[in-house]
Amino acid sequence: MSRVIRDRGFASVDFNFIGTALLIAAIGCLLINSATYFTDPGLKIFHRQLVWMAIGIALMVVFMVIDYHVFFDVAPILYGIGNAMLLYLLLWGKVTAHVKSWIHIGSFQFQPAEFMKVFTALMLARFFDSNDRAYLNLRSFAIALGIIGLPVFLIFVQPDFGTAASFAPLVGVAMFFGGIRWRVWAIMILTAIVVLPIGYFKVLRGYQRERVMIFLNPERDPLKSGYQVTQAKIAIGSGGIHGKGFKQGTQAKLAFLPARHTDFIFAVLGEEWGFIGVIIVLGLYLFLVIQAMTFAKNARDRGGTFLSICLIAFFIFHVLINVSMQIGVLPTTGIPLPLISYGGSSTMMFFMAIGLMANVDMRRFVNA
Amino acid sequence: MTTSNKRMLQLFAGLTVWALIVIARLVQVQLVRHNYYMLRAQRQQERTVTLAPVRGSILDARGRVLGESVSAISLYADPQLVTDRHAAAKALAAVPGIDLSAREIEEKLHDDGGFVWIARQLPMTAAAAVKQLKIAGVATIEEHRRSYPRGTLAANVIGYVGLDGEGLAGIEHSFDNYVKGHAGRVTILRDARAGTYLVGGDGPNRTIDGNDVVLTIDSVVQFIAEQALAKAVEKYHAAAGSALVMDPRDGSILAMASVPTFDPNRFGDFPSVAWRNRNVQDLYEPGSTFKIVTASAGLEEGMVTPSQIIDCGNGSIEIANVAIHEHGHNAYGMIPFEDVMVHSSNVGAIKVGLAVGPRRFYDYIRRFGFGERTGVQLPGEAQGLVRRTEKWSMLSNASMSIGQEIGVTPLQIAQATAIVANGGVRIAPRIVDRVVNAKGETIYQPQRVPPVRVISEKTAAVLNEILKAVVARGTGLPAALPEHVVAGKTGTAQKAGRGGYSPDKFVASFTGYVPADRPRLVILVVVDEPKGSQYGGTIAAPVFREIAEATLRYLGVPPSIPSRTLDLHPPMLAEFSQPPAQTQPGVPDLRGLDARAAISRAVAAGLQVRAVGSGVVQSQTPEPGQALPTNRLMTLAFAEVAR
Repeated sequence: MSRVIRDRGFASVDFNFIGTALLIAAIGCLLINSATYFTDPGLKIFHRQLVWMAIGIALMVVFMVIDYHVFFDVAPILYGIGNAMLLYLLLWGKVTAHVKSWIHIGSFQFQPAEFMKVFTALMLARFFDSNDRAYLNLRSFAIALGIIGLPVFLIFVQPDFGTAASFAPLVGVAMFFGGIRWRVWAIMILTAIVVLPIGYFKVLRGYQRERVMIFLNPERDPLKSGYQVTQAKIAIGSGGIHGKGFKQGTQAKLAFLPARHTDFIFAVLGEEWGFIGVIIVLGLYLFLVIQAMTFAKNARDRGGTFLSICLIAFFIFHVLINVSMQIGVLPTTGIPLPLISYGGSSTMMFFMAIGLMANVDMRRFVNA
Repeated sequence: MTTSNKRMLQLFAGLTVWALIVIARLVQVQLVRHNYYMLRAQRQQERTVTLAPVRGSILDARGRVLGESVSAISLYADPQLVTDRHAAAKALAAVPGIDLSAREIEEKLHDDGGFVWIARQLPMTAAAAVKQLKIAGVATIEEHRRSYPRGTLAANVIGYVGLDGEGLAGIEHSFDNYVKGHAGRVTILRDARAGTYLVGGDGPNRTIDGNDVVLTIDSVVQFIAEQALAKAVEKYHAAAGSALVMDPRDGSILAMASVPTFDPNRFGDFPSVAWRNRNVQDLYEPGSTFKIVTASAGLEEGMVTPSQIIDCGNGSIEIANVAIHEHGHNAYGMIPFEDVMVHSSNVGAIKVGLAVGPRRFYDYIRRFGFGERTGVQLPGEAQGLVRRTEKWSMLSNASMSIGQEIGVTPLQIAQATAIVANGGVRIAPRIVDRVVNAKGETIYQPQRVPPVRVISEKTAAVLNEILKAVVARGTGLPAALPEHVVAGKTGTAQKAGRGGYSPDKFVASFTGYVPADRPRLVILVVVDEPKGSQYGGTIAAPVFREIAEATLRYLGVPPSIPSRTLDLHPPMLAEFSQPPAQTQPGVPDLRGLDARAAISRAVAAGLQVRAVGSGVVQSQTPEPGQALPTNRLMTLAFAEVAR
């Protein structure tokens, strides 16, 4: 526990990084306000998001101040608790919108899967901290896949394909950063070719297969996900270069846009702030990414590097997937826009991630 | 770390490509196809709905409603929101008041657009029934339906309004801008659940209700005129007819009737010919009524005097190798000009017309208002057909003297008649008195054309005497009233058809005014193609009489011939004649009375009686009506009458 003290105080905190994250979150609050004020005149949703943000910022501070090596130490515990909650959900969870992904504690509810993203990243980083070879051998790659695979499986059977798929960046990081050989690639591809059809036809039920098909081809379901994409495109497209202005987005206001304050908040951004606003927000994300990459590069140890990369990979992945699905580049899935989408669990999770990345940066000096 | 860095680079190259794809797509959606998505957004969200204002009313001179707007319900659908079109159509077809089959409704529901009318202007009861069905995508909107509570009354004047609220004929058309009001515009924002939010409706988008048009028409007079005209048209199986009642003092048109007519509440059920306002839209050759103009010109120009003897010869006159005959092949010989008018002699009128000459005659015709619109504010007014003298043939001067070779509207004839009634001054006819807004303030009043003197007061007075004679002892006799002196002129015009005048198609007309010496009404009656008779005196004059009598009584015009009591019932007559002595001038008529009655009357008249014979009075001296003899002696010859 002596590591806790090994920091240089707040002077070494990268306030550009934190500030950018807070700026993005503030924009998110404005968008949520704009997206909901018309249908939620009491602004309950907006106020709740402010609370989530406050908690998120507190968590960020906690995950920044305490040395990330401490988190490596407790990672198995966090990882274990997370998986236990996912298991609990499967066995006793309440079904909400066909999916068992929420844990209810009193009037409070949260999605363990979101927190699991950070916990899994920690677990994985802890694993790679002790693995410094150029390439992963099959065994250690299998362990890495296992670490990722357990929560993904538990989430996949909820079934929440989108969230399960959002763990993909961890796999990518494991493969690219950890490094795998040709043989492993070949085995993976072959396994996928064999397993996927079996899984699709034997394991999944009819309605689940339909959901997969819709996932791949939204036009199959023009009134639901296809409709969502169409409406999002109309919103973004009608925004044009300048946008319609704050609270002027009729698509969102009139509830044509489904999930307009959560997964489809980017469409509100596109409609009200236009192309200029979109580019600004994407630029802010890019700034975060560049900063995080610097953190990774300058990290004191392999674990820190890996942790930073895992977490920023989550950001990149979430942003790209989320934006892609709104403009019809990728099929629709329930993935939030980091720090902007409404939602307690994801807001907290992304703030935790920001905190951890800043943490790695703070402790980059070996001789501190 | 080099291999690691290389792999990182690969990874980031991939991510960059992805990011660029996203940016490219954003450029396409937001910048390149912006207009397309903008339109799509508007199309699904907005529907600009015009909130129809309440159309103003059309009122008669005494504020009685002739046309008004009443609430109605219209049914529309957004076909894209109707889930089960077949079921919806079936349910709607069952609603009472919707006169459409399920198949017809289903067809409408297959429209590609976002809006389609299902049924317009249904009774309010249908609205409740439709609302109860709760069919998604089907909604009602309150509209206004034009209602004409008096049905056909003055229909040809009022006109009618189309389904979309625009005046299509009559006053509804010519005063559309005043009556229709200002439509408000409201943008209906529609949300994804088909809920609606109304935006706008203020400022220039405010709905302003229409104004009321007050006509000079009096419903009662209009009713009188229509009834009398319709009766005559029916009686003589005529093709059409028109009647006008005008107050010559200010040109107010009190009644303007056309036959055939229509019910503007359901104008579509009538042929378009029934919609015409014949009084201003149709031209006819006036025939002998036009002799008023001929006479005016002749008298004013000193070409003729009422007592001047005109040689009407043997009943025909040859002009440019064409023989023109008198009506009914009469031959009047040498008669004073007054009698030329009284008998409506063609030969006599032609001689006067020729004496006036083309140039001056044309001048009078124009000054009487022919060949130009009267300016009455009714749509489609014809200006008439008056050829310039350069285009006249050798026959024209003669023909026009008797009202041929000229096209006039009934209103022009009424206007010309009013000139004589007004002592020679032309006053433009008017049918709209004023336009008032919702607060009752007058916002428009048609400009009055200043009166124009056409003929001298003296000429008008002479003409007045002549026209009185026409009714008192001439062709206009059937127009005579017991309580009022009538002045007027008959017209019997052969209708010109292809290749000359038709031998059996006539326009019978009568134009006149009453009371002749203080005119209150100018009345014109035109009956087109009557069967069985052709004369204006026979067909049109009685209609004049009927309209005049009822209208004068309705208006409370005191009798201008107070002594005449012909219309009183016999018992009343007896009572009235009880104290006759002082009032009855001259010797009473005692013929036919028995001795007792005859003697009592004679005594009452202040006479002494010498009786010869017995029975009833056969003859008397002095004769009835003569001045009382100075000796006050009367001889009565009695004779027994075979029973």
